[in-house]
Amino acid sequence: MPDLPNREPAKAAQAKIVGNAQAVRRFDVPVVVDAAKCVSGCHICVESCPVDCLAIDLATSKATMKHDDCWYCLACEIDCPNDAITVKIPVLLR
Amino acid sequence: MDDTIISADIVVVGGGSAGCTAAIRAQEALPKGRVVLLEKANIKRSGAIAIGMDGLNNAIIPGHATPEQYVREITMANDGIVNQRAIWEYAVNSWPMLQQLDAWGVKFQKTASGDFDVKQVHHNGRYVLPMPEGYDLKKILTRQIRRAGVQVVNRIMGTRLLVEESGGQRRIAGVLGLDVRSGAFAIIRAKAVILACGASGRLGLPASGYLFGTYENPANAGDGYSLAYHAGAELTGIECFQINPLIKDYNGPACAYVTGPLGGHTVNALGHRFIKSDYWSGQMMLEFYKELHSQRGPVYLKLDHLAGETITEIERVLHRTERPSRGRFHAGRGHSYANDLVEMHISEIGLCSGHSGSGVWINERAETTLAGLYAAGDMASVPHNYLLGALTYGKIAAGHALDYIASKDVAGAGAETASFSEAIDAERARVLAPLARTDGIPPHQLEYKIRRLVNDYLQPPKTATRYERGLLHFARTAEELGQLGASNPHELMRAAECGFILDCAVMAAKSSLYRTESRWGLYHYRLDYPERDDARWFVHVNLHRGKDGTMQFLERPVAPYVVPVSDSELHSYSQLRIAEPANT
Amino acid sequence: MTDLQSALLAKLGNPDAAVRQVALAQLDEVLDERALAPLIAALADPEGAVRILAIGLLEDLGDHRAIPAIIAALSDSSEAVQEAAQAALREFRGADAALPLLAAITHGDPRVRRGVIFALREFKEPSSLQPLIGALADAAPEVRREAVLTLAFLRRGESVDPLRQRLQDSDAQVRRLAVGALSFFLAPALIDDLVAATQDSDWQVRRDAVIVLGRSALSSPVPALLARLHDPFWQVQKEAATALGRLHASAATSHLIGLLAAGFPDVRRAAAAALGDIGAQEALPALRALVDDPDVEVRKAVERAVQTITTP
Repeated sequence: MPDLPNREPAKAAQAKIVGNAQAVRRFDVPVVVDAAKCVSGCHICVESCPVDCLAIDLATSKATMKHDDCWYCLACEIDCPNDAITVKIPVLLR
Repeated sequence: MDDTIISADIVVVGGGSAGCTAAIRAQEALPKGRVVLLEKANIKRSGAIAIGMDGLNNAIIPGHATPEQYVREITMANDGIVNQRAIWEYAVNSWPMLQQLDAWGVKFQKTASGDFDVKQVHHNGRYVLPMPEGYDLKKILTRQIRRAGVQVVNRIMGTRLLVEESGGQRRIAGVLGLDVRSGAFAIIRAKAVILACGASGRLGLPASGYLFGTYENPANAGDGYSLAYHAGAELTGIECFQINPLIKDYNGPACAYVTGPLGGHTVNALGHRFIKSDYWSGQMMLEFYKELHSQRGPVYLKLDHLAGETITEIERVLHRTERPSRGRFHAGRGHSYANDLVEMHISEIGLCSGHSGSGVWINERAETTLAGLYAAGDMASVPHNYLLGALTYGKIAAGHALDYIASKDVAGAGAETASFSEAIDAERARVLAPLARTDGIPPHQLEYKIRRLVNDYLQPPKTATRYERGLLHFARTAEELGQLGASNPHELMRAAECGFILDCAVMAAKSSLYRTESRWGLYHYRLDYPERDDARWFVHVNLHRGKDGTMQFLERPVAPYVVPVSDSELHSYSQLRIAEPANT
Repeated sequence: MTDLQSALLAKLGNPDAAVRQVALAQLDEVLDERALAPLIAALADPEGAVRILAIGLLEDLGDHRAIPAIIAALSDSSEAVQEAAQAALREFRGADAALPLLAAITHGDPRVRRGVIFALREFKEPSSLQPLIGALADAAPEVRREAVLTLAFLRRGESVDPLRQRLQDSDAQVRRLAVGALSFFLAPALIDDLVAATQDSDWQVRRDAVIVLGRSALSSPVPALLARLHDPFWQVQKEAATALGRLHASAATSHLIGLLAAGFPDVRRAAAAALGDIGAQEALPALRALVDDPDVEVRKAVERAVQTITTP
């Protein structure tokens, strides 16, 4: 079998300068919002979150955990006047 | 997008415990003045005690402890390297602050006859005051902020300080930052700035691998350490890390200060207590570390010997305050305090004067080494200051900042914002740059990498070779900061925080290399210099950013003590006073 | 800002509960006293979440004119609303606020009676003395508990005898709290009652009585405390040892030496510490035998005790 051409020096040099590529990945997140109980227009939980990981989903106008940054501190759950939020322990710790 | 522009007499950066009392004090003294409180989250739920606190660890209440006793305890717990005047200032001002909090409606535990129910946890003084209903502490502080009329600006994060230089003199001129919701750049001019940004709590990576599963509120990313450093202010004792004994995996405190007075305690796998230290110190953490890594590990919190009524009382506190999700963590695993031991672990590293001794160098007036810049709370260098220290020093900082802005030199001064345009433009470009990099590295991935490297190279015990390797990795990672990409303002905040975290990592590494001895138990345990060396190292190790942009070190002598401490007392935390029994 | 408040208050009449709730959530940022009457009216809202938000805002506002309406919410149909009302009532201060609370001490609903007494605790309002003494005879034990504690905070001599009678209460928690309340008035005449309480059927009453007697600086309770060294509960044994140490009761020495062999380390630790406090020379051999105790806290207590006893 003939030797493959050694492209490694060229590719290694190229890998250092080429731009970055990205993929999208799913996350299991701790903050679970009951959409039936979440009141449209209310954003108490979004204001409560100390790490700003919640947001109002513009399509549904309900709260949702947008960024996987939760401290499982329960501020959103405690402050929700409608008991629409349940915080689970993040799966990595559970 | 237009910049957000704010002008103030005094701006407080960070609306946690220290920031709230600072802003209230400043506004009360300046009824017509402009006091601005900047907070990267919302002051209703921000700071280390966002969800409340279950007790004070260092209350100095007449009849239970004296300032002299407390200053001596803290001096010993920090192996003598302290500025006693700063501790003393806390010790005498904390009792009026505690009474103020009581009047504001903060709920402290009281005895059946209405006295503060102080508990003895340490050997000498009695300092622990439980707050079983401490969950609404932040609500009460927020109410006082509003009643005082402070201008609160939520969701703006400081990224750099603005410094005015003229005639060889440097002084503070304001804060630059980012609106983490809109992505607008913010310029806040002020005559004085009080930094109250909390700990560097997102430094090491929790063993679970979850970036935000930290002991400290993860919003406290070391912002204040980085802000002060880049402004040229001195920091001190950065080699004295924060490491805590925590519930394994959950990574939150089991609160020995809550369970201890009720009979709970830490045991090894044989079911025996082993911690010799009488105070939460690096020495105690070293004992914990050694036990964990011995044949007597792992280590547990033992509560299963307590009566049902007592367990209910403990759960009522631990499941409602500070980290209330503890209860569902245990329930999820089918564990209960009544039937199971709670497995304990030691945390990843952080920087926090509230629990150890590292921070921005301040004196007893909360002044940093930069004129007009003050610091308080977990990021300021008063050791073992905890919650009450933050509340007390916030007020102290405001008092002296008020004097500063009233001084002739400062009152009418303040260069035109235009004269800072170069610095402002550079910072705006730096902070907003990731938005333009559509294919940039996501901040959470780079943060993971920095913090994983912190664990790999900086987690004690320390050695020069590992630390130098770590610095090489940090230098390469610093280049990658320039490749960060953000697709929204939230990610822009996380990108800027990567810079804070890396700054803290580099400071931690270089400070640890500088002090070639071991001190503070596990916090600065060097395998290559295992002995404490008072002859050479009975000094503060301070660092600052030099004119050439590099990190400079200097040593400051330990100021003469105001409360004398004998040599034998100074060594009491490192002595193994109690011999190990032969057969355990 | 003021326009925003008017607009939000107008929404409280909206038929959609969600609209009313959101309006209250936003009112938080623009609150002033013009919201008082609309917020009081909102306490009658059919939606529980709206009532809770309104209570929170009235608490923030701090105007005592809201107190009667919040007191009424103590008997709300929703438990969450009751809790919010209870939490809010504690945040008011001053004599103006005490008046409506005192007026409700004889309310028909025990939840209201309990709630207002609880809210009165930090007021230490002199005029609350007689109404509180009256509440000690309340039919509901939870009301009597709050009355005992609130009277203790008042610290008035007139309440000693009524509190003393509570040592015989049918409810163990009332008895326990009465022991604690009386600790402030500790007089020789009370010692017999407290000694009797060391034989209570409830272990927590016994424990608290032992602790209080340990602070009496009297020798008369010593025999009763000695008996408690053999209580079926280790928690009581430990406190009895500590109390005897504080009283320097040398009569306890042989009993405490026996307790050094207790299975539970906290009891061994307390016994060792007490022997040190007593300065019991004859305990030295037994103490020294414990230097290899597996529990470090016992070893520390032993070392300190030996040091205390051997240091002149």
